[in-house]
Amino acid sequence: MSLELLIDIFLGAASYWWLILIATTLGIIIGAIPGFGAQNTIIMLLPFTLAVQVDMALTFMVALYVASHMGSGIPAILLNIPGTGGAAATTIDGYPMAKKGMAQQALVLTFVASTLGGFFTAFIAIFAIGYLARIAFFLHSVEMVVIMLFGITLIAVIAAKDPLKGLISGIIGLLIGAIGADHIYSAPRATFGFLELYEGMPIIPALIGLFAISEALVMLEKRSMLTAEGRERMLRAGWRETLEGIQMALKRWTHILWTSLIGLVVGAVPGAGASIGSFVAYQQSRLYSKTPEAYGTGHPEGVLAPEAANNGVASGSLIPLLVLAVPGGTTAAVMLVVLSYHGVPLGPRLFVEDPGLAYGVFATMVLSYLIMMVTILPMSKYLSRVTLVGTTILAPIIIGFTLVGAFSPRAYIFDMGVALTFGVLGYLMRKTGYHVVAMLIGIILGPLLEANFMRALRLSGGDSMVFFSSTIGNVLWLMLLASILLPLYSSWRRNRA
Amino acid sequence: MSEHNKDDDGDTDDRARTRIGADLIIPVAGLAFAGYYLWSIAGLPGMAQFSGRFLVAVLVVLVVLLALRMGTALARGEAEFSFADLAETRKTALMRWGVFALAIGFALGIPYLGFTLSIFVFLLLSMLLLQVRPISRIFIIAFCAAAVGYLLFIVALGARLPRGPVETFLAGIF
Amino acid sequence: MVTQPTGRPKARHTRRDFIRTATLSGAGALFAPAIVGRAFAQDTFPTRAMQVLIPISEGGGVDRSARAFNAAWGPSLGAGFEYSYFPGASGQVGYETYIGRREPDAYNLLFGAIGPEMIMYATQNPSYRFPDDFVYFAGVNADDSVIWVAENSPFQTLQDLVEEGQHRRVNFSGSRLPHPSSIAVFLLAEATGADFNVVPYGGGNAARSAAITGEVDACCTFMSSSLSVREQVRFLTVFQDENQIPALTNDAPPVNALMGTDFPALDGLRAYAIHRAAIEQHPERYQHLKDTIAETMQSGRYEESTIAAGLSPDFNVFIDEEACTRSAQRFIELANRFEHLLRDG
Repeated sequence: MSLELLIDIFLGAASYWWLILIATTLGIIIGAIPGFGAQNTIIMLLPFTLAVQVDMALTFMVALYVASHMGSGIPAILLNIPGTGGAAATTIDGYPMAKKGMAQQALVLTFVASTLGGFFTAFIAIFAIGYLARIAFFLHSVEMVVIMLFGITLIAVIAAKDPLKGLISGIIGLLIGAIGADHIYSAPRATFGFLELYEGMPIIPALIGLFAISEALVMLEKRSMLTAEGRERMLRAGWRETLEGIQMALKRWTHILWTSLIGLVVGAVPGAGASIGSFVAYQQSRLYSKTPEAYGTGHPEGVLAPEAANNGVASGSLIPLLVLAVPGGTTAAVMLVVLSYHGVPLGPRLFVEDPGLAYGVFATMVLSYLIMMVTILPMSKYLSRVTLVGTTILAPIIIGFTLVGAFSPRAYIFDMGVALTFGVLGYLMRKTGYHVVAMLIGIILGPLLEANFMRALRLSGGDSMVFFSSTIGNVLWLMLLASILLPLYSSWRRNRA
Repeated sequence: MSEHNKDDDGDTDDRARTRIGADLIIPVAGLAFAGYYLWSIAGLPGMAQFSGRFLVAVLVVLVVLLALRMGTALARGEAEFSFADLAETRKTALMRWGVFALAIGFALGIPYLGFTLSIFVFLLLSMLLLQVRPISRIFIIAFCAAAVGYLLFIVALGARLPRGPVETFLAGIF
Repeated sequence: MVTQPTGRPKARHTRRDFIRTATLSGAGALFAPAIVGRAFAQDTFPTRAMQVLIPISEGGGVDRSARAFNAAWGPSLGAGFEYSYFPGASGQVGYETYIGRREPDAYNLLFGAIGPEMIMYATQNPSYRFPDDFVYFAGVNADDSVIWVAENSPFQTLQDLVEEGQHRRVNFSGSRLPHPSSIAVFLLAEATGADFNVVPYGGGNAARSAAITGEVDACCTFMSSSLSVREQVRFLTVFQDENQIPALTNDAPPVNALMGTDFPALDGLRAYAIHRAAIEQHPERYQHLKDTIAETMQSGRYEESTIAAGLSPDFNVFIDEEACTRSAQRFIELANRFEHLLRDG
């Protein structure tokens, strides 16, 4: 690409700075409310995106999309409620930080990781889009099975206090994830007679129940969600904490970059998504850490990894849409509707006929991150004050708004019932030492894993050797094996020492 | 298992490690669900049954391991059988399950009252029950929350939330 | 009405010509809405907005088709439209809701896709009955099943694919097994003895991606949704008596002409359905619905509103109740015939 074109593209995107400002603000808000993700919002705003010019519509959707990934980390940290599945891994270390009164630092970590990771991957995408699009030609069902297993192995290590209970939670989660029509014959399984469960357990209501409702129920035991020292610390907090967070993040800039690359690669595969990207990044981050035991206790790297990754996914997930005309995820599918409505020729022709529009997507991303860096970082100080609000006010607000969020994606009252049921389940789990994140990993990744697994078997006519039939797959298997054995080996060495 | 860390996993409260009883609820419920799952897939094609059978088998093994661990601890006198983990004071129980009952009411009422009115009423009653005082504060918080929700969801996003008297009345204004 | 549909969607080209003619001759037709609206204003029906239930998610192809048609129909009908969406269980949730929980007052209509949803009806055994509980009375948009391969595929023609299938298993990506396009492949395999294996990907986008990225040999899907990838693929055949848009689909031949077979059309006819009880209790309202739809088709407004909605008018059709019912019953028969493949491979 010529420098001239590059400058043109950035200038073009920059002329919509005001729209990016509006879209990113809205994106952060809707990302932070479970149930109102980018996909839903773009559907709701179709009348707007269909009415305006195509570059304006695209700028708006892209900015909103990347901002929603960033927003979803905010409630994950402040309230232990991920805004989307992509931020579920953020709760593992983000919320413990908040409880200790370090919400501000944790938020800053999220913001820096998201913006830096997103900025970096979007920039890479501009130059390497052709190569990144090729990833989809090499990562098929078999390879995706192994990649998802990386995320699933988190189940075994996430509940460090009681791995057996962690595994039980995870397996029950996987079994819940296997509710609904099977992936080959569409035969309904364990739907309790509810047609609403035919397509599987709806993830957003389950997530809202397990995290938000149960957290609100537990919260009511104390007047504040903070520990005593945490409260002290929060009351004293000022701008110094924001700077401290920036320092913490920048000191680990390489960590942000390589975890965001995991997100970029996962995102470039159609059908993967932010949940897979962030769980795999968290797992990898923990694996190669010198202090794996610190994960889960409020470790900065545990916040950086999933957040950098889910914004990396955002950069990657639009690549199949632009290069192959195949949307990689649900949000991209709605964008396809808008782009084809405007008559945009997606696929190889786009890069010949309208390269400005194709690369403009990533220029918009880069600018969105720059703008968000300025608008959101100073907000950490104020946002973190939410943790000081008394539980008697916080709990009803959480329950009320997240129940509406559970309703929103499908507009079924039934889904509010799902959220309430999972609320009680999550409450019982928390009170009796079971890990809700482990269960959520099962519910989210289970159906994806099963779909790819069944598909691979069907492709091979039932021959299970298909899982070892590709070179890339086999390399991934070895890496998976190493990632299971490595911690065992190092703990064995530690015990001997 | 590979890890034997002493750290907090971030989800459980500090509690005596020697109480066994309440933590059987999840595995027992899990097994009951597993049983139902197997029953529901009987007669389906083999491939549709595969995941379910595999997962149920793993779950049974894990629960047996947990039961053995608990049994050993009980036999050695290192643990006692008790449901104290779930014990709560009368006041906490009233607050917690009172709010939960109101949440059920909220879900049932929203199709009739519409989003704005029902969330206002839910917040109002919940905070009354949770003894937030003074009452004027409750009104202000509930009103502001409902207003912000209305402006964001109904006006700005045009979300498909249930409409009720408030939305109908305000439709003329916005 | 000028042209009475003759039955099967086969007669579509006739209707297409008719629509075209109507547009050409109908500069004045643009003004028809106001006149028609007034003429029917004397009638008591409809006095409020029509309630359209869509058994698929908002923003999808069916939703867009419904809105495109209604934009043209509204002025003739003299009413607006309100939409509700009940996705899930391949449409079953929507149909159960429509039959069980909506008043049969002719204000409540369902807009769905006959092919996929009748296969669902035949395989999922829902609680409602067709055609006792409801009938489809106006098909307004049809999409045809096609088979295509990636641009760089070694298979140049359908015969290549069939020959290959006579030596090894050939994999097709499809959105799900109970779907007209999957049944198209079953029919082809049955007729040629080829070993064709349909792998369901749980959605059209994923199915198309699998074929483009080379995980499978070919893709069986609907035509209109494949147009976005048309430059990266080679269409091999279409399961309809005529290829409606040869220019955009490298002139792929109809399967029957190519293979000497006699397959029925494997299409997805998007159509309006109404409660049987509404027809019996309010025959005049039902007649009004049918008359105004016919009037809309004549006016040429439908083609305009389709283009305005960013869709191709090439898929616009007009199929009456009788032909819709035949199409529905044909899919029930096909689903029953291939039950062994839909239930177990």
